[in-house]
Order: sequence, then structure tokens, then C-alpha cells
Amino acid sequence: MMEDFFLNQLGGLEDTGLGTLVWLIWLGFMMLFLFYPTMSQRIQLGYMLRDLEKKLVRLKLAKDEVRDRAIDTIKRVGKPEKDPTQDIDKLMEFFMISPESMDPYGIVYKLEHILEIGESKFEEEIKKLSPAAEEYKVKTLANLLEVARTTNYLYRVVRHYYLLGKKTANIYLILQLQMLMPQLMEITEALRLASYAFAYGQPIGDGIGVLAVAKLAYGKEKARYEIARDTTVSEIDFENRRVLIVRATGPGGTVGRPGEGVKKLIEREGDNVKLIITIDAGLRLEGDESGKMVEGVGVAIGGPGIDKYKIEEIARERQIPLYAFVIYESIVEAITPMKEVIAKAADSVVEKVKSVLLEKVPAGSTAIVAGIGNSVGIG
Amino acid sequence: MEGFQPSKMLQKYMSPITFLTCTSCGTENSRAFKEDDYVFKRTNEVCPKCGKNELLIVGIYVKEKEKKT
Repeated sequence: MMEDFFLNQLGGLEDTGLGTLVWLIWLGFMMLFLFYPTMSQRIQLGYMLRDLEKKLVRLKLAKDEVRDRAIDTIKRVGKPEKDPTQDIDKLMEFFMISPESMDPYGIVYKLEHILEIGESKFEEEIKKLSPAAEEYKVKTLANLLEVARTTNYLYRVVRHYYLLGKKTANIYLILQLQMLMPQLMEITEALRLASYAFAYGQPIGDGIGVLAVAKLAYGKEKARYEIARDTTVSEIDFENRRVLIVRATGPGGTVGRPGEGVKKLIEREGDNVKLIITIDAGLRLEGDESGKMVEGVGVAIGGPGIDKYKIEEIARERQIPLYAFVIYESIVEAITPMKEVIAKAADSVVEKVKSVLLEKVPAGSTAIVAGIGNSVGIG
Repeated sequence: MEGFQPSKMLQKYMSPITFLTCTSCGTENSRAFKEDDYVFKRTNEVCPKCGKNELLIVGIYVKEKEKKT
């Protein structure tokens, strides 16, 4: 009995005829992969396209949710006379063309000019759509529309590469897109949550620099005035030192013009300015702790680089030291409602700034402290 | 593409909390965020301790859940 069993195993199933069939199927597969070597790649491409399709649906859902929230908020806050949907859809396609960099001379000012025109045009359009909104709320609504525009652009770019990869069956294009998808999904999710913050005017993680300097100035202000567009200066005295605090004007959502503000202050104050301190949120690396404050030298300002350039240029010209504080945050934390751990870092930044002022600025001199970031929800 | 469930969205939105201090007695208080709240805004809400109606918003942030040890 046992002998027959092992013989059948060794001889396969040829006695029944099923063995031949299995063998032929197996041979067929072998031939398919031999004469059609991209077969496995096509199967893999199919899996990848299906995965991308699911993520693209998520992106579309997020994009539609943000768009709907923008429309609802404009209706609720701005009380427009007619339905703003068409105009909002038009604004979601709004673009700015960056200046030609073949000849880089003066490119910073060209870029500044284009960004200023773009910002003014965007705000102007939102003002028209929101006749009942106060001035500061128009700025927050502009931020909300900017979030909707970015989400829409992200979705369109991903859809473009997905469809292009599908049409040309280009596995390498799809592979690159699939590798980028986790980061793109995270950014989209952050933008989705950011739309809540801008819809209701809540402080976001990026506003930590503004919050820290607002706390430094609160109750000690001797004078307060606007130095550049959407940029306020608060003057305080601290231990016989004059401190000029520069920040975006709140509580509307704006980042102001800190570069222009600091430049104008130095031109006005001359050689009295002995130190420039910038405070900003900085992207943390994975594994770093959110809300942790670190210090260094240089200008802590993100964005297109115009403000950073202006401060660096004038500081070098006048030989003013540049000191910087950065509060670690993730990309999601930077644009979503401020977390407790980040908000509480503002107090330790204030204490640290005070000790740097005492240590590095001689009595009777002036220092500039610039709080960088979006001022939404911070008065 | 149509069959995908929206419930699979990644994160839930957490509304922030507004923290207030009474300008007279310094009592600290908190409540859910209301539209038009902003940090350093003086509101005419009544202090639950001294009854004065001027509270200062000193913070607006998302309270994190305490980690279980």
C-alpha cells in the first residue's frame, strides 16, 4: 500500500490525465513569461495603478471637502449677494508665473513684485465676494482660498501623472508617483485640516513665532504702528534696552512683510541696532520632538526667500549679528490648529529671548525681535 | 473609483479650546473655541469667581490627551 502511494507521488498524476493538464498549464505559463517578458511588469503595474486610484479618490474627496468648506465660509462670513461658487472655482485655478531666472540679477525684487500683485488681486477678489467681512477676516478667507487652490493643484498634478502613466503603461512614471504618494497624502491631509483653522480663524502651528513675540510685548507696549503692509512694530523697554518687535498684523491670517519691516527699522535706527533675533516654526525631522526650541544663527524665515534676503542683506551691510530661535513642528502641525505642546513653547521662547537680550545687547542699545509666521487667531 | 468609502479619510479634526484669564482676579478658565475668538482679545464674559465681565483670551490650542502610563 505504502509502496504504491510513493510510486504515484514519484510518477505524478499521469495515470489520471490530470497530471498532463497541469503540466501543460505550467508549460504555457513558462512560455508566456519567456516570450512576453514584460508580463510580470504589467501585472505589477496593474497593482500599482489600483493603489494609486484609491489614493487619487482620497485626494479628490479632500479637495472637494476643502472647496465646499471655502464656499460655505464665504457665504457665512461674507454674505455675498449672489452664489459665489463660480467665482471661487475661478479663483481655485488662479496662478502666478515666477520671474525669468536666466539673468538672475534683481530676481528677488521681481519675485516680490509678482507675489505682491498676486496677493493684492486675490484679496481684492475675495473682498468683492465677501462684502460683509471685516478687513482682517478677508485676509483669513484669502488663506482659506489659498488652501483650496493648493489642494486642487495637488490633485490635478497627481491625476495628470496617474493618467499619463496609465495611458503609456509606463511603470517607471507610476513607480515614482507611488513613492511620492505617502508625503503627498500627508500634505493633503494637513491642508484638509488647515481649512478648518482658516474657516474659523484659529491659530495654527506656524503662528508660534508671532505668538511668542505677542507674549513678549503684551502689557509693555510703549508704541504700536504699522511699518510695512500687514506688519506691525511694538516698541518695548526691557532692562534699559529698547526692543522693537516686528510681527504680522493679527488676528487676520497673514505673514506680513517682516523683511521689509526690519529693513525700514534699521534704516531709521541706524547704528543703534545691535542684534536681530528671528523666531519661527521649523520643520522637524522624524524622531524629533514637537515643540522643542532650538537656537542658532542666521535668519529663521521660510517661504519664497524675499524677507530672508532683505534681512541678510542689511544685516551684512551694517554688521549686525543675526540670532535665531526655531520651534520644531511637523508639516501637519504647522498648518493645522495649534497643539498644546507648541503653544506652551512660546513661554520658554520668551524667557530665552530675554536672556539673549541681556547677554548680547548692551544697555542703552536697540534690538529687533521678529516673530515670523501666520498671525491667524493672534491679536 | 466611485466605490471608495469617504469614511477612510485619515485624521479627525480636533477643535481647539479657548483659555481665558479674568483681568480683575486672575482666575483661569477655559471653554470650547467660539468663532471670532483670538489670543489677547478682551471679551465681556463674566468671571465665574469674582463676577467681573472682562476676561482676556490668553491661549487657543488643541489640548492633547494625557498619555496612559
